[in-house]
Amino acid sequence: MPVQSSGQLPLPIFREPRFAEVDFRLASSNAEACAWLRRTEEWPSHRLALWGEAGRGKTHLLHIWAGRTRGQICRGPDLFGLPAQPTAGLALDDADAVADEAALLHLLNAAGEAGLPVLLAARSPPARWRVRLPDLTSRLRAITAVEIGPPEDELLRSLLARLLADRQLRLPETVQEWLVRRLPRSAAAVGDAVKRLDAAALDRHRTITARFAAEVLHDILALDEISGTGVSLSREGEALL
Amino acid sequence: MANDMSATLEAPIADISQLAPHWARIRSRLHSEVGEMEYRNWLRQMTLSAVDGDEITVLLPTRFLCDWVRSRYGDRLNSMWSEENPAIRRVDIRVGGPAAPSTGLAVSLATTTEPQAVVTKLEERMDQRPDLTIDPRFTFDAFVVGKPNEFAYACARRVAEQPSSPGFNPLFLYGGVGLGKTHLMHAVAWELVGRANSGVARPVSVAYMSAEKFMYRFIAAIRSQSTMQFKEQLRSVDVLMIDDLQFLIGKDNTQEEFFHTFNALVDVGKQIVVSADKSPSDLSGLDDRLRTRLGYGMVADLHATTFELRISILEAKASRAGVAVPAKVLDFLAHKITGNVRELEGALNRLVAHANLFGRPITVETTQEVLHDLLKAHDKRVTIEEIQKRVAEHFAIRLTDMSSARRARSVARPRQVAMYLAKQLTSRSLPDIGRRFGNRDHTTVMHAVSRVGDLMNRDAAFAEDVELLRRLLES
Amino acid sequence: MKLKADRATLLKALAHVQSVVERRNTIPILANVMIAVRDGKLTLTATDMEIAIIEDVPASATRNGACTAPAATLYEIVRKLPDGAEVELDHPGGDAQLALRSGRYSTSLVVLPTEDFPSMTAGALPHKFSLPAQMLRGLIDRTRFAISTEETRYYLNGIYLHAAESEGTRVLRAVATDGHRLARVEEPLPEGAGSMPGVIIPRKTVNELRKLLDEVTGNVDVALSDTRIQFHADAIQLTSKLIDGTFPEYERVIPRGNDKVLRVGKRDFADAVGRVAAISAERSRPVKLSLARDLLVLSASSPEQGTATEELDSDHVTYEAGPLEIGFQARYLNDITDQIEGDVEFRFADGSAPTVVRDAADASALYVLMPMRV
Repeated sequence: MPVQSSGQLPLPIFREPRFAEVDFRLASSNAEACAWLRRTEEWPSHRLALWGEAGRGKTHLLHIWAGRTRGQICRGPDLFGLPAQPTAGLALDDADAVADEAALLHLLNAAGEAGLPVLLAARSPPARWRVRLPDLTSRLRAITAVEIGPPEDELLRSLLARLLADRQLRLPETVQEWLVRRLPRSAAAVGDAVKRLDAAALDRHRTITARFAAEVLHDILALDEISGTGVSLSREGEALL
Repeated sequence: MANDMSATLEAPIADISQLAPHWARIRSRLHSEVGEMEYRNWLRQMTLSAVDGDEITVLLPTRFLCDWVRSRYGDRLNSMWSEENPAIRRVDIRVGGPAAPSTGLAVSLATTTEPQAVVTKLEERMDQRPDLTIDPRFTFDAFVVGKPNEFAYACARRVAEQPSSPGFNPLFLYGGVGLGKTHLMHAVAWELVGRANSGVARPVSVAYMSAEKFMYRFIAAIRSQSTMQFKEQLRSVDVLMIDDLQFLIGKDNTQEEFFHTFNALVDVGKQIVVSADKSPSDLSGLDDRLRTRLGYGMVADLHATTFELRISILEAKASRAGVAVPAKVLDFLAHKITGNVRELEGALNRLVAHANLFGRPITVETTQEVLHDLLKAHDKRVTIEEIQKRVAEHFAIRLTDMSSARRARSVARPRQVAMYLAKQLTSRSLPDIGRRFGNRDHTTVMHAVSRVGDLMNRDAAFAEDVELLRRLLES
Repeated sequence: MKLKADRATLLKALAHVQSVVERRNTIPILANVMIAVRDGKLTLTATDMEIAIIEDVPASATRNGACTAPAATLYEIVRKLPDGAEVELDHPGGDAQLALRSGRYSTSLVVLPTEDFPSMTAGALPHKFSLPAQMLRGLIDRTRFAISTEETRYYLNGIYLHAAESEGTRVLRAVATDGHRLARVEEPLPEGAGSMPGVIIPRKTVNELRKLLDEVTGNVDVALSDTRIQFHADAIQLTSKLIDGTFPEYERVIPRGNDKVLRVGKRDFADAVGRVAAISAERSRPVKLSLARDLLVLSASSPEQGTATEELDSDHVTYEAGPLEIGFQARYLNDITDQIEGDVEFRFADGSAPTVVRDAADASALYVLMPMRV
């Protein structure tokens, strides 16, 4: 049976993810992106765009790149008006969510004139963003876009562990394995699952077990059988309880 | 009596440095047990921190690494330590300590080289003014001339060769985005400087800026109450070039200022070059007087590229980059990327940079792969139903056999191929995939995936078959 | 090892150490207490590998030596001996059994070798300070109810003790939260505590320490490092590992601008909450507080049982802000009012925002409580 909210509101305690370089996991799905990031000097026109579904590590890579190149990080929705003359490379996260298209155009031009690199990150490649300014469109379509592909099984496993660690949640390895096997194999699904487990456990003051996870995530987990009265776990699931 | 107490009541190990040799051995044993990749990912960052009684503390720099190492390697570390040194019975794994210089990605996310150095030098030679940033790639030589742009090119050349008397003032260049307006303006500046430096012509001072920059500087001058200085600076140049004038639409004060500057320069015979996305008469929203004055000189437009021009551009770019690009690829690009020169060059640059970075040949296939974001409007999401249908058709079996219990190889193999493709092309979990193949267990799916993988490694024809199916499904 | 001790003295010490021992243990020796005589002095030691307790016990020892014996059994035996009895413990060494004699009673217990007993030393403890036991009791009592029991969220399973600055003065602060409520108590900073790192003391340690503090009248010496904390009072030394976690930046959730102030007598309020909440057996059902000028109406309802309300008027409450409705879990309200002596002061923002609760006469404690959706 799905878990209902208790009605208790939680204290707004947040922890920002850290995006430490040592926490990044290289895999074939992100190898091409990493190869490009290592060689800023080879980016055509000093511009590069990383794209891929939420949770695949774009923001993490942006932080690592900015840290390494002493660049600045900015978010697309925060970009407005005429930017000050850039003095360092710029990493723009959520670049497809820029509200002020002219601001992005200025930024690309200003960085281009100064010979400074610009790294964009977004869910879709710049060539597919819905942009009205023709000047911006043509610049975006000329940008080298590199996809971060869907995560491999091993990467998903470590992604789940990292998201849990970021929130300081400790789940037995067996429960993590159980989850990884049943969740859709996408970074976004894993991210969503962790967020929901965290909230539900806090709401109910419950320790996260396989059974609790099955209740909370019944709609996205591949469970062997779901009956009206409760969630039936597989044999391994039962063994974990 | 005193003997059996000493083991417990007195700390057996006083100093962590005594344990260094043990620790080194443990690390190297772990390294060979788990392999280079695992070791580098997880264990390399461990540091030995303290010993308290029979417990030692191992630190990892982040919570993620710490939690991972504790749950996956905690027991192994414990047993290795007690084998190595019986006085150590427990290993406490905690967050702390410094992050060692990382490898992997970090190998060299090297700081960027500084391409602006080139520009700075150029500026110094040309003019002390910092806004004169000329892209050294944009020369007349690098401009590929064809029917759609030859007139504009000729006009720009004339300004560069006879800046004081080209016979028209201003030169107004217009056309859609990415067709070469900016290139031509930079080329004019570059040529003027080049001629002056080589002694062919007298030195001239040139100012080039985009209209947005003109506005930005004008506003900054107003704020710092230095508009007089701004005006004087602008009015002292021999050639003034303003790019993307359409940007001034709706900005009346800046237009006004530009109008005065324009007049002042024209009055004393200085040359002006202006670009915009439309002809002066179509620039509605611009002050009428300004529009009229802009139309007094030479108005030259750059038309959309033709296939022939695109091919010449690509050939010129490729030979400039010193890369041999097969004619088939150039043909493919010229057909597929018809928008404008900037996109076309961007695509070629991407191909060349990709080939350099990854050492892969440039073929039509790699081009499709590298530029797939540009060539396709969206990526296709493949469903398990489509996979089953396509695979069943391919192997000429019934669709129902995808979920039937039949085990004959003639149906089992195609079913395994379909499971393999479902794992590769969808984000469904393995239990979920199993369920859609007649309620099979996830271990059956795992078996199918590894079986098909093995077969693909051994049997090239089979691998080709599976790859073909994959491409069909993805396209 | 051979010694004689007074039954009451030995019982008290055994009570302390056996409390640390885990009831269900997979490692047999952890169920044991180590009895050691050195230089004629008796010490008892017990540990669960997270906490270790060492107590010096007055006794007349005639032979040095050590052994480990089942803590619970030993405690039960000594407890059942008559008051005023003298207890003799005799262990000849090695694998021999431990003989316990008192009057005509005698028993022998199987021992485990002391070499296998885990030793938990504290290592270097660079930060040292001392504070009155009563102050430490106050820090614990007013915060520990808010410690989280959710095992997954290990970093909240303890009291966060750290040096802080509060309105210009340096204080020692104890903070606990379970994500629904938060308790923050502060006392003047003891000398030597200024440079201490913030540490999270595990719940079990807090509870063991609190039991010991009942008997302490003087000062408690505290020493700590990043990973260990040690309390020393009278003849007892309690050493504990600290939770390896980052405590949340709790200051960010303490509202500063709540301006709707309710004052109510602790007794009046707690009793009314108790009566109104009695309508529902479900502990997490909300009690609704409806406020108007100098009027507080408490109400609760249960789909099965019906409804209950109680009014507290201007004789009992002061409230000058605009009307407000807000719901809280009854037990959360009780947990907080249990810590308060006189008047309770609530500071609200609105029905869904964190509410600040304080003892109107005591600025040293502050509680934040999240409401329920009502």
